Order: sequence, then structure tokens, then C-alpha cells
Amino acid sequence: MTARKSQVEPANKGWKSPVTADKRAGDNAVLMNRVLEEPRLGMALLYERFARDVNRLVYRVLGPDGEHDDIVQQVFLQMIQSIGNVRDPERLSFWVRSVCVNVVRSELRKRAVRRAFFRSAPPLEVGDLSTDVESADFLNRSSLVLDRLSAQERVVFVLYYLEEQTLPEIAEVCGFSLRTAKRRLARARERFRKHMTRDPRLARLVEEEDVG
Amino acid sequence: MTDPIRAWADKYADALGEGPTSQGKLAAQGARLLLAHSKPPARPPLGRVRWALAAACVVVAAGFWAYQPSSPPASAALSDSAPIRVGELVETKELSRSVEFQGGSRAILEPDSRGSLSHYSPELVELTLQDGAVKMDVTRIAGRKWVVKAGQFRVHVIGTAFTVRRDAGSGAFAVDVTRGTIHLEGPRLQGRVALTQGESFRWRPESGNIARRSSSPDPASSSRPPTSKEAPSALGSARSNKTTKSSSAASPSQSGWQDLASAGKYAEAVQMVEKQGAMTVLSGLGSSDRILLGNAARFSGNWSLAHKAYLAARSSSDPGAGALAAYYLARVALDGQGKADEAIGWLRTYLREAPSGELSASARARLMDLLQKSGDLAGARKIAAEYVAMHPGGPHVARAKRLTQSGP
Repeated sequence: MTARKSQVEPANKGWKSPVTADKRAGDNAVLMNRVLEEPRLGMALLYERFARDVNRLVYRVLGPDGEHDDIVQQVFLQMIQSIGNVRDPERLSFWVRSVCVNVVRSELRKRAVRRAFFRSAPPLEVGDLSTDVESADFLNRSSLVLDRLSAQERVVFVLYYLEEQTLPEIAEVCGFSLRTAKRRLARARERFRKHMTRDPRLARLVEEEDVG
Repeated sequence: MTDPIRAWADKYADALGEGPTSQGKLAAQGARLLLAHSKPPARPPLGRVRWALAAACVVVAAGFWAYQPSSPPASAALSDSAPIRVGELVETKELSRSVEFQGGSRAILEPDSRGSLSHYSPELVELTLQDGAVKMDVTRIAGRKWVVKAGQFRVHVIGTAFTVRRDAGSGAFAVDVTRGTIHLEGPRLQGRVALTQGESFRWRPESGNIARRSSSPDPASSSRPPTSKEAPSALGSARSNKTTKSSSAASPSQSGWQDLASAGKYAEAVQMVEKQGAMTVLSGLGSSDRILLGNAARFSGNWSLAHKAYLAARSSSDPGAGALAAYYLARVALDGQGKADEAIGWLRTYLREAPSGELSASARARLMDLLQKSGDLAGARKIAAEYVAMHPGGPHVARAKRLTQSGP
């Protein structure tokens, strides 16, 4: 099993640290101006620049989801509407992540409300496709466990474990204090572990992986 | 011992794969986004009206919730690929594909098949099989109906397991019921005909021949299209909307091992094969069934049989199956036998034979790890560089980049 975290230098994360300056700040300023002056062209440029990162973050937090494209669209529309609020072009990519996290978190909350009222939220998508039955089973079981976390906990949990963000980065992207980030991660971890152990097959699949 | 959550995260990232970040999908998504952005925004309702509407919705929803009978879960499962939308055509090549529905139902589209989900609502799920075979395992949920359409035939599902086959070229149709009951509609059938566990139905349009059998589905026949030579008992006398008792209905243990394996009953499937003689069964199987047997054996912890089945798949003439078997042999070597060197060899074989295969990202990630753990950092960096180049949106790209940057 890979012990990624222990071998990781935080500064070398896939996402750039929000506290380090964005080297493309000059480009960012140009991009922001284009978005403000010509929103349609700006949208295309914004999409070209951030589509991969936004898609990945949404995908990691929600998993395969029938509303994935709609949520990505919401993120970009939100960005277009509020890009004028970005004061520092150096922090554009950090701001993009914040918008993305906010939209996804809001979507998770809506789903939790729908689940509370309708017991099962009918998603738009009607099934999922897998080339590997084993992976589909694992993802399905994992999704049920992730659904037991609150929106805040799920986002923090995914950012930490899948996006490999550090706690200060997570706190900044999510807009709360470091202490709150630590508390939420601890709670998410505890709840996740509890629900994971209730699914023996999921626990066994993880153990199998661990042997490797 | 690794932190189990960390272990879960690694496996989850691996199972998620690259998701929707492939270039083709991004281009389509971008086009839709720009189209949506070019439309004038809808005028938002006035604040008070909005609040009144929200309050009304809450009242209605609360009422609905209070009086809602125990409704079935809607649907949705997860996978490492894009979700299916209504009308979207799904095609398989050398691998089967599984559509998982919440509530435990599952449709497995077998290799070389085409189909789509033609309707979905909480009351009705309808799948259309254009060509090939689909194995259904439907868990009965009150208030929901399932229908599988194949050419002129419609299979109405009650809560059962069965396989539908259709050859798009000839229009031939077949269905084998493994468990429960189905109702069949089609040409020359008077109304709906009930087929129960162990019964099969065949139809060939060119001969107009209809055949019905009351025996357990023959495992050997499950991977081939129906032929006109099969038991010619015409269905003209079949009773409409009546459940016909099968004279020799098969018990679950008598159904084909493929059906058991496809239904996730791996240990039972393996047990059945071993009773029949593993090598005898293997020698009569095609490459995809050999892989299916290997997977069933691997999932049930029978590493020896898994190894034999995958080796047998490699000896077949199908290069796709051979490469896939190499990947699984690596899993057997690693998970079952703890032989890292052998696993490295098989992963290299897989990547040589299928450098852009469906499991190539996972294979590179595993190979990268194994080489790193074995101390071959130069080899690990080489694979990491390949990973970054070939799977830029992959789940292990950050780790691969770190590895490439850590070099001298």
C-alpha cells in the first residue's frame, strides 16, 4: 500500500498552495479583464484555463454523478458573475477553488435536504456505467459511506485525503479557521471510519488493497 | 499497517479514475457551457414572491413526506465512468459493463453488445438491447416496473435474474431465466407469456422458429447466439398472462456459474466449476469467460484457480483478453501470493500489450509503487513520467509528478 502522505512534501501538491503566489498572475489579470469586458469570450478563456481543475475537484467530491456537468456549469457561471470581486489576480486559481468548493457544498446541502424530505433524492442520472464490476461495487459502497458525512465534513475529507491538501490550505479554501478545519476533519474521519466498518465488504476491499 | 482511510483513499482515487477530464468530454462540456451562457438569463422572481413560493413548497413537501408510502430508492450507483443518461447508447467491446441501480438491481452488458436506457422514472425502468446480451439481476421494489426491449420482443420483469440476447444482424432473440419469473411479449405470442426459473426461449426470424425449453440454462450456450436447431416446441399454445410451472425448474445451485459470478456469488460460482472439474470447464471456455472465471476465483480468494484461468485466457487468440489477463495476473501475484517481482513482470507485459488500455492508468500507478518499494527509483521515475504524459488528469498524477521531480 502506498503511504502517500508520509512521503509527501506539502509544497509539491497537485493544486498550487493558496498561500504561494500564482506565477501566471500577469495572465490572470489579462484573463480577468477579458472576462469583465467580453463575458462570452471570457467564459471560453476561463473554461479553457480551469476546466480540468474544476472538473476534477467536482468529480472527486461528488463522485460519478449525473449532475456533474450541471454543477461544473454552475461553478463557471458563478465565476463569471463574481469575478469582479477578485482583488488580487495572483489569487485567481485559489479563488476558483473557493467558488468550486462553495458550489459543491451548496449542492450537497440541497441533496441532504431532498433526502430528508423525500427519503431518497431522485437524481437526474439513472444508473452508472462501469467497465469493472469490482470498482463499481467499491465506488457504490464508498458513496454510501460518504453520503453519511455532512457537506462540510465531506468537502474537508475529500480535500485532505483525495486532493492531498494541507489543513491550512483547506481552511483557507473553505473559508473557516484552521481550528475548525481540524475539528471537521477529525469528525469526518471518525464518522467515515465508523460507517466503513459497518460495511464488511468495503472494509475487506480496503484490506485487500492494503495487502498490496 | 497503513491507515485504513488512507488505504481507502488510494483505492477510491484509483477506482474513480480520470473521470470526465478527458479531452473529448471537456470539449463537449465547454460547448454546452458556452451555449448556456449565450442565452439571456431568466428573470429572477421578486423577493416576496420567491419566499412565498419557497414556503408553499415546504408545506407541500412536508405534506408529501408525511403521507408518502415507503417509496423505493430512486436509482443511481457509482462507477469509474460517466453516468448513463436516458437514450445514451452504451457499447462494449472486449469487457462487460455494469449498470448499477440503487436498490440492488444490476444490468451487465456483455462483451460486444450495444444497448441503451430508453426510459427511466421511479415507476418504470426500460432498457433497450440492440445487439449482444444483457444479464439482468432485478431486485423487486414495490411500485417499480422493469422492461427490457430487444427488437420486437419486450421482457417484463417481476424481480428476477435472467439474460436477454439479440443478434442485430439476423434479429434472433433469446432469453434464459435464472431466477424468478418474467413476462414476454413478441411476434406470434398470444399476449404475455410467463417464463419461470430455468426456462428459456429462442426465436429466429428467418425460419420463424420459436423454441421454449424447461431446463436450466446451459452454461455452454450462454455465450453464443440462439440457433434454429434448438428444441422446436412451438409457443402457439402458451397461455396468456399465466405463470407456467416449469417441469424441471433449476435451483440456484444448478444455474450456470457465469450467472452466479455475474450476480456476485463468486464462491458459489467457483464451487460449481470445481465440481465439474476446473480444467475441463476452462478448456471449453472462450477468453472472456476465462477472465470471468478468473475474477470470480480471485474475488473468492481461490488464487490458484484465478491464476490458471488467467493463464488460460492468455493462451487464447484474443489479444485484448490476453493483455487484460496479464493485468489480473499481476493482481493475483500481488494480492494473493505476495510476489512483487512477478507482479512487476505482469504489469510490464500488460503495458507493453495495451499501452493505452482501459486499465493502463491503474497499471502504471501500481507499477510505479512497486518499483519504488523495490528500490528501483529510476524505473519508478520512468513509469511516473509516462503516467504524467499519458494520464494528465489521473488520480495519481500529483504523486507521479513528485516522483519525477525527486530525481537527480
